[in-house]
Amino acid sequence: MSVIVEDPSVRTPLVLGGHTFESVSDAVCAPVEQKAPKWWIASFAVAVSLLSLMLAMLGKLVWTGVGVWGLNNPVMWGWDLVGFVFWVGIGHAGTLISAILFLFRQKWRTSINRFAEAMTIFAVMCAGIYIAFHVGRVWVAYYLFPIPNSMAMWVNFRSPLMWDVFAVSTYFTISLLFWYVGLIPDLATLRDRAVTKTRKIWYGIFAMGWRGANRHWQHYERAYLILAALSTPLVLSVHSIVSFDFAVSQLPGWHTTIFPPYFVAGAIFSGFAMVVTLMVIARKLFKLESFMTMHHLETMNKIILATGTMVGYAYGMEFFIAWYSGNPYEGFAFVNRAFGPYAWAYWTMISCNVIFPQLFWFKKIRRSIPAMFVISIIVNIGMWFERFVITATSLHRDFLPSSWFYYSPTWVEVCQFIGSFGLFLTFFLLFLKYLPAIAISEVKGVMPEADPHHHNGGVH
Amino acid sequence: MSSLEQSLWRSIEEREGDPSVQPMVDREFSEGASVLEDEVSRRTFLKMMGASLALAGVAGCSPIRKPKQFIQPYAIAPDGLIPGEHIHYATAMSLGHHVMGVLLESHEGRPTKLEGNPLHPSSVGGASVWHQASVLELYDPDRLQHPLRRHQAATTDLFLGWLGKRLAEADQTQGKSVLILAEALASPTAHRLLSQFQVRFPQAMVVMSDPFGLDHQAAALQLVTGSSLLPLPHYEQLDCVVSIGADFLGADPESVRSARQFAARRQPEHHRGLNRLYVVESHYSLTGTKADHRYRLKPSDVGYAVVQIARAVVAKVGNRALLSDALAGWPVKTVLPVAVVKAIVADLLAPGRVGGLVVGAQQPAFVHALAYAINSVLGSNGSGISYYRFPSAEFAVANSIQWGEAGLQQATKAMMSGGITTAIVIGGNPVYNAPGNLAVKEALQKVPHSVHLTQFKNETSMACEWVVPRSHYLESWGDAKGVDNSVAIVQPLIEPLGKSLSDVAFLGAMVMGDGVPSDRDLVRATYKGAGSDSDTVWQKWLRDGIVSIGTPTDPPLPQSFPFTPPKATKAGLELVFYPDYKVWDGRFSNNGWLQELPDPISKLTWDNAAMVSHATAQLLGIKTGDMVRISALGRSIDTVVMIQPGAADGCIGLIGGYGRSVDGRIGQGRGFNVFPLRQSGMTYVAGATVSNLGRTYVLATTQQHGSMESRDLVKHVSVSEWKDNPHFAHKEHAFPMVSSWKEIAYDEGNQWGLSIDLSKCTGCNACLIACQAENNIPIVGKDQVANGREMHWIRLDRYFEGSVEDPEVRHQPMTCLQCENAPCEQVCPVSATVHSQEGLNDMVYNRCIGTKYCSNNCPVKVRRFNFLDYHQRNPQSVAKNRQHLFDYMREPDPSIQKQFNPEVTVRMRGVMEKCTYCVQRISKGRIRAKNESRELMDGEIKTACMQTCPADAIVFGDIRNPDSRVAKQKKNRRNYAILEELHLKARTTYLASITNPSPDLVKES
Repeated sequence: MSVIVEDPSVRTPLVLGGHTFESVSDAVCAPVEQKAPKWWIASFAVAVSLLSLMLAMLGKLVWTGVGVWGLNNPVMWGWDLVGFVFWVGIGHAGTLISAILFLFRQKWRTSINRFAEAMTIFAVMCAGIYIAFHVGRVWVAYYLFPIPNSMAMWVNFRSPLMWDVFAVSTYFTISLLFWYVGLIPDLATLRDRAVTKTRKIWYGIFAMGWRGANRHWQHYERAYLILAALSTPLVLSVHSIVSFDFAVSQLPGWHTTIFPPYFVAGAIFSGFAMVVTLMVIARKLFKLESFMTMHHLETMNKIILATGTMVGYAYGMEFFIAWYSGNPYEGFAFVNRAFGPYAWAYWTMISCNVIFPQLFWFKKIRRSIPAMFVISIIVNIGMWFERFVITATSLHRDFLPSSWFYYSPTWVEVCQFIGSFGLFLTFFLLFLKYLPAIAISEVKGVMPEADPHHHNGGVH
Repeated sequence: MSSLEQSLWRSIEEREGDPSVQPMVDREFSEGASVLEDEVSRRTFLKMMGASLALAGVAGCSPIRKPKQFIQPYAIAPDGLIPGEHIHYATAMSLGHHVMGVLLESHEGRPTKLEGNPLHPSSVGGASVWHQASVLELYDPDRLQHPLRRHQAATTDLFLGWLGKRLAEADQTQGKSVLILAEALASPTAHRLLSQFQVRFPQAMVVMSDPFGLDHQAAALQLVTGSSLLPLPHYEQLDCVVSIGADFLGADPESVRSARQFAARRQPEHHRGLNRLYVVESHYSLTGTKADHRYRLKPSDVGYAVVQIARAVVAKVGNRALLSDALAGWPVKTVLPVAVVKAIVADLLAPGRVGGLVVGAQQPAFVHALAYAINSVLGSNGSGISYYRFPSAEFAVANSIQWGEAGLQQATKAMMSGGITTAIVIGGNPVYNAPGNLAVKEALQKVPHSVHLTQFKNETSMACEWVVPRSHYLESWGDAKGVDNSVAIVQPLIEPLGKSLSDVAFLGAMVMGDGVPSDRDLVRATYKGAGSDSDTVWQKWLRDGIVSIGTPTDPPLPQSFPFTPPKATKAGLELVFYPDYKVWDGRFSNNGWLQELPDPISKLTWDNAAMVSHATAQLLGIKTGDMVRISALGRSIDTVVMIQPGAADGCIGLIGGYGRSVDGRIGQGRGFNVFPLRQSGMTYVAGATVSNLGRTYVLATTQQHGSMESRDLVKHVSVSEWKDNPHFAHKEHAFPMVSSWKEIAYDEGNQWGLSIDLSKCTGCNACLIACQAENNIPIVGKDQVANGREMHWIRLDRYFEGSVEDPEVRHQPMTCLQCENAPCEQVCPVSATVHSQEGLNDMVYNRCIGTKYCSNNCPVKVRRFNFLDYHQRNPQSVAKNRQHLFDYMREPDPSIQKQFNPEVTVRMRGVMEKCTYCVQRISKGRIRAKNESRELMDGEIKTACMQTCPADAIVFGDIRNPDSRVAKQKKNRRNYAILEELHLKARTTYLASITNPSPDLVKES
């Protein structure tokens, strides 16, 4: 690995390994064009098995009823909503990287945005499954949409769950469009490089006749900019609205004004951690180290450190407000989090989310592949626990002690959560195999050769 | 055109042959309607055929989805029946010696819901859990449907032939070889027939026995007064009540009457002020929870508390009513603190106030006798406490019938000796619930011929040759004379659902030996001299549900006191036995509502447990959920332990009625049988040992947390504090409360509200079962309760306050608060829970998709979610008579379905439900008033909980009507809303509880 030059007057190169435009295309297209490696087939088999597990659990859920989960009277939401918020949170990094970093002209995003966006879409799909299937009668879940009907029914726009339906579906739609628009030039590259007819046809269809003409590029860049502008507010809105599910209710421990920013920070935190986990593996397997460089990873880790600290601040502030407000129920809710029956979950959350990411203050750790891999996984475990702590511990002991109860999941909930990783991984592996994991055209754009003043300027 | 067609015309134009209309006439359909005018090609034909066949296939599925059902009208409608309108009929239910008049709501011949009969003195409109749940028992599919001989199906005729033969044999010995073993029968007709039986068979042995009967009490009063008397305290007249192990507000079949009277005196607004209740007991009873002062003593000491009080009374007033004589030779034991006894006696003897002792039926005879003597001294005998002739005891004395445990002991002996060849067991279940030292099962197996008249196959019927189905009281004629001597006629609401015999018909068949007589005629014949000849009188009795109200007799002064002090108790633990608050002595154990009912103190469902105090548990090294072996007198049982705060140290409370080895699908194998440890002639067993079996057992309770966590939920103060600060329940808010949404005024029409007086509420659970019966609430089973999924719409919150050793208990019934600013409504995404104009928080089941968000946002967690299809999962459910891919394959038994209230939707899985303030009753009342063109009257609409509440603690009505009871109650200074600071504007509010502790004892502490 080459040494990074720490000269502030010189930007760190974003692509290493002396790549030319041609070798970039070759390197990125290689996984798509080569035969599927053994590890891919093995992982895909595992992913599909997990996906089948999830489908089986959903089948059982629908056939028997929500009672197959461990939910009970005070704790009506458990692993279902935890899973939903967890996946939506992971899906946050994509939009942030593609939209906000794009608008801020953060060029380092180019080699990871495709990857992160794909992750977003698959994570939101997992979240969508949770939100659809957590209801008691999934066959009438369409009542959630404001469809004019003859049943004299209309949705309740005061309900945060209603807002959720719109927020998540909008987010999914825009993310998908954004991802697809960005893919078009690269799909054309794949089409042009294709050697089989099937590939030509399929990539051809999805490349939508892209020829790389000046007009195409103009339209493309305009569309990309508009979509970036559209998604930017979504980065903040989606998780704010997800947090409203909790904050708008009056349950002590949920009814907190800090929730929207705290949830957004947490979502970016977990999303970036997930990107790091996946990137560390993918760059190794597909030999993409020259595009996903240590500089990229370090930058990601810095963001993890920053958002992790924000989350830690939010935890502290929640306690302060619980005390400062003088509300006995809220005060109890927080003391109960730290010292009640679910204290183990709370302290797991604190150590995973607040303590471990602080190790990234050390450059050595920030730049150590094994360390960041472990910490990124720890962060995601911690963020799962954060949602669990918020959902279950607030619910299990609220206003009337007579209704207090303990909640534990059943094997169905656990298997469904494990299975949701199957859905995520199946799509992700398909993505790695059939689509360019790195935005070829964009990476080329940030290479020195793209600079018109480059010695080889303008020559493609 | 035929001539007929010529004479028909559609318009003047056609008739007059206007050619322009001809094409229109030819067309079947008007212009624009699409018609297949082309000639049908082969291809089109095939396409249409294909589609038709496919559609026919789809249509063919429809009979699978919807079974063909016929609704048949009455050929001859019963008098006064309006289809869809229910009718109330009066009848009476007896439980042991106790009788209560009830009204049954009947829908087209199906009784669905029971209410207390306001005209009957034992009910005055209220009903207990047992009465409420008896409707479900009627429809229990596990009840015997036909006679069995040696467990094989047989017929009633075969049985009658057998019976005739047995009795003919018995004639030779004047019945010496015949034993009748009956449970306590309160029916004068049954008594009459049994006397007739004894005329025919003077040598026959007749025994009446109940495991939790009134033997000790009746025997004691017989000895002291020389006549068969039973006390019936009048709690509204008693200013001070000292309860010696008497659970008169709880596990006492007379508790409905007692609770109504007692609760009236728990309101500080009562013109005679609050009464004061002292309770001395071994385990925490419901009565103990209402005590102003409660003392926990082990059973051997409870009696000495009375001795101590008696001595203190003598010290004050001298020897009266043989009291000193009675106490001569009794050891002096100080079981109650001296100051307490002083305070009790001061209260009892306070001039101008009436005080009395009330003794639990399971206390030894000398305690009853001493209490009688003390009450005589106090002058409360005859004023605060009335005495009535005890019908069963009088009958037993007159007919030399053995009764109680002593009789059971003699009967067992006789059977063991082989002298009995025919045993006739009427009701009861002695094999299961007789004391362990009486080997009733072995004895019964020695009898060559035996028959058991019983509703359910049980342990006793397994030991008998014949089993004859016994009719439920709702399907039989009978009569009942209660402990207050009031008489009621039992009339059937429905034809027997199986080939069963009523008690009266069975006895009649036995006595007359001429087939099955009409039970109606037999009952009517009993009252021949009293007016039953007149149809008008008879009809009036049936309509009112009461024949006559008894008159008390003057209690004589004690005449003798032939009791000796009990032997000093052995070392070791003492075992004390109680009937269960739900299944009583096991007779209700196959009733799902009762099994799932939380015990009012422990909140335990589906099981019993050995109740031990915290200190005793620590001493024994056991904790809640541990399996232990309890051994005493050479016998032992395995059971589970539960720590009961407030239980007496050094004893174990054992609850009867569970551990049934032969029962229906609901009751079998629930809990643990404690009767083997009982000893006949002993009210408790001493010298028990406990060993930990090292196993644990899952107990399903509906409340896991007993502390109120210093939250101001159940407001309560003593009466003196209340007088100093009568507005204590009122809360001042530091800032104005506003809603984020536009608040609705709710100032038109009826605005419904509920008020619950916590001073009156005894926590007896009657409201809970009434609500379950009214609203088709399913049972969910033990595993679901253990996971907090019980469906009861009313939750009886029970909080302990004080030390774990000797806490006080607070009850708080929690219904849906029907908040005007309902938090649940705002968060439902599909508007499945919305507010009505009358201020009700309505649930629209059809809209509900089950996000469960409403429950999460409900501050009092009264919403109930159908996690599973609980009707389908009931052990008594049956396969559906239709099949469909997306349908569920089971449904409630057709018999159980008859109990369902047709006015209330049966909810499916995946939807939320909750208390509706019995909206179906509101609608019904509103429609009735509208039909009669009048305004609704106050009290016309009663919710099920209000109607049944024995303590009259629940009041429902229109809060906009200033004259309504509920509006007045809400103006009471004790009125408060729970969690008011959340600005819920709850329609259910509470009246704070006021207690009346003795000022002397308060000063002490």
